[in-house]
Amino acid sequence: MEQLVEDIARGNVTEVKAVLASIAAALAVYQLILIVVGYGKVRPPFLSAGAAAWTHRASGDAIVVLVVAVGLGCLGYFGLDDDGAVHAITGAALVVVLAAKIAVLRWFHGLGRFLPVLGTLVFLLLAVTWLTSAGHFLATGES
Amino acid sequence: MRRPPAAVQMLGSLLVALAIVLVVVAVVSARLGPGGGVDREDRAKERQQQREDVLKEREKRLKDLRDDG
Repeated sequence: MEQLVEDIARGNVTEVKAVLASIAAALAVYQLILIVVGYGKVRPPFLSAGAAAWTHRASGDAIVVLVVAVGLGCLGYFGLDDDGAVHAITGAALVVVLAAKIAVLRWFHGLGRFLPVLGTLVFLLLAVTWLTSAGHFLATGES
Repeated sequence: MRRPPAAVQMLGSLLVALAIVLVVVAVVSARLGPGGGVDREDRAKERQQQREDVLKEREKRLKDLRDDG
């Protein structure tokens, strides 16, 4: 697995991970703006709630792919060590909450009232996971 | 101001997402600098050294725990 990840990233695993995780984090900020419009809390003249919600879902699908790819690469290449405990815990929690949110969206519609809470949790966990890895790497150059 | 058609709104908001992706790739790549010439052997040695350090640290902790007990 380690060799496969290294081959895919052409030896720049940390750098590729930093770019992909940063894209996911930036899109997550955009997601917040879109869903605020989607719920009608803000009504810009150029974007309807329906269009904002549609883009929120499309962008969210892209974020899920990025999170899964980065998570698998991270786990396969770096594994689990004591130094990255916070990153590992928030990363695992992010996957769990993201899976719960998708489950509510797809199958458990009755729990839809929890979507804003789950979405906020996903954003916060993604932010902390990014800060403790890619953000730290970009700020200090240490992986 | 009249709202544009729904398809235009969707396309526009998707293009904003695409622009965000492109800006992030450009900014992060610029921050990282050129990486195409990374020496794999150097990287592998660095990883091996990190692993050995972690193992040594764990062994030291285990020894300390045994000594305390």
